[in-house]
Amino acid sequence: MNLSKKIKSFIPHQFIAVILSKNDCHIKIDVVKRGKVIKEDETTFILGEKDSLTSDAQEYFSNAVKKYKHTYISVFLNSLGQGAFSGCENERFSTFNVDVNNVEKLCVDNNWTVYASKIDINWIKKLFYKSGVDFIYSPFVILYRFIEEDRKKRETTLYILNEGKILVIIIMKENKFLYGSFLNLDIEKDPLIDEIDSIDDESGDSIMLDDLEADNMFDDIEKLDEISDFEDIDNITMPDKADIDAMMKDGELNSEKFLDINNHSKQIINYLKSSLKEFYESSLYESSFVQSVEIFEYESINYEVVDYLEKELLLDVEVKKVDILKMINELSKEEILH
Amino acid sequence: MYSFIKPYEKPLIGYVFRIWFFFTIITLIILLGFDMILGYKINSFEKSIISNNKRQTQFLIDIETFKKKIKFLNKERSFAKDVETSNKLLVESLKNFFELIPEQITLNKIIVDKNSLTIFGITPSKDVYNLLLAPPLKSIFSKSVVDFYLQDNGWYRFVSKNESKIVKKEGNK
Repeated sequence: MNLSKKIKSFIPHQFIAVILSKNDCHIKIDVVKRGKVIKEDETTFILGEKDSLTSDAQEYFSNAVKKYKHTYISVFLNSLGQGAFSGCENERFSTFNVDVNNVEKLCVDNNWTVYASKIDINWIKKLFYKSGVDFIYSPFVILYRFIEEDRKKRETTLYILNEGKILVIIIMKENKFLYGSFLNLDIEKDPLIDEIDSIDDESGDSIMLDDLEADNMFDDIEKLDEISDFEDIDNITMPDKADIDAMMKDGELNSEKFLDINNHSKQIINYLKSSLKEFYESSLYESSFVQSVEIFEYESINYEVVDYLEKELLLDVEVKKVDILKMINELSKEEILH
Repeated sequence: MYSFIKPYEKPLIGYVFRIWFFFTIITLIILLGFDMILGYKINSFEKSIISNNKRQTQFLIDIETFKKKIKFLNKERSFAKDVETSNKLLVESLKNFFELIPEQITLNKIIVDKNSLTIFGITPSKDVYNLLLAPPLKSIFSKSVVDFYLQDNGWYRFVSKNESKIVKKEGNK
């Protein structure tokens, strides 16, 4: 530890982690001195129009910055314009149709790249123009850190991070990053079940399995027979529109909440399906058979999703509660104090 | 680095503290400078004191030797003066003595001693000596003895030995 880091340990440092979630802004404050957290605080502010910070929230940040000279504000980036892929070379951007000039990129462990649109990053900066923002973390990086902290599995695993507004998935085989994908649940929050059903009704999903079989991708895998169970994807136990209508009529369901939950779960399931399809089908990704799923939930994931993964896709599912705010502050502390 | 952006620089030391620190350092440098200069000066003064003390003792020693020299020179001077006086006296007495010698008598050699005067010479006759030279010699010296030696031509060689207690100091001439 060099001298400046040693001096730093004697000065109180305030780390503020911020998640701009669906409708509110989650904040966690840690004040660290001599390697110990001397003060902790968690609070939530309702977001203003177009996800802007209300004057209360801005005042809160300004006061916090005034209170401690060494304050670091870290923001969890959950906007749409971002992604991740394996490999760190610049040429990989064109492979994935990403304009390298319009994104900020980071190479993680010399193994994979995470990128985010400059517009989104500037938007965050603008949002915090009064107090300033010191770190912006990609959800992929946060999920990767959770995976690293909790790595038990060696086989190809699908890792899911559910933040509430967004859903991030990473597929890793041992220590190798294979696939990363991102879903903004907020944007697709409103669509009606009809629309989802219509997506569901499309024959795309069954093609995926036909293609898989046709490609004989898993000839050498003993569990090949199990893959045929994918065919059941089309017969997910999710209630279709007719069922819901029937249930509504029966008075079993009279709240929109249920519809929302269903809608939400279906959205996630569809997303997982399409992501897996993309992973298995696309030549861009190294082929490997996903054997298990690990879900890190900041916001609880519906049991239907777990149920679907376990029963329909026959995957081992493990669910873990995680604190993204805590992890963000941990990362910032590492950057500043270690 | 896992963040898309770099954190703002947050200096460890505040602006006011920096100014305070800067001036404190400057003051310390000035004070240290003064201290060094004073230390140097004190050191050089101490050195000069030591060297001056050495010079002082050397001068004292020199003074002593000069005093001795002066004493010695004074002695030499008085001695030289004495010699000069006696020489003057001798010159004077010799001058007087040569004036005493009559024309008939020829002097071959004289030996002037401290208290004696020996004269070797030739005289035409004993009487010439006895009449013309013996009386003044006798008046000067308390004792005057003369021996005559007859020569082939009838003249006499003589040796006159005169002793006196009056003439105290004399140089050789």
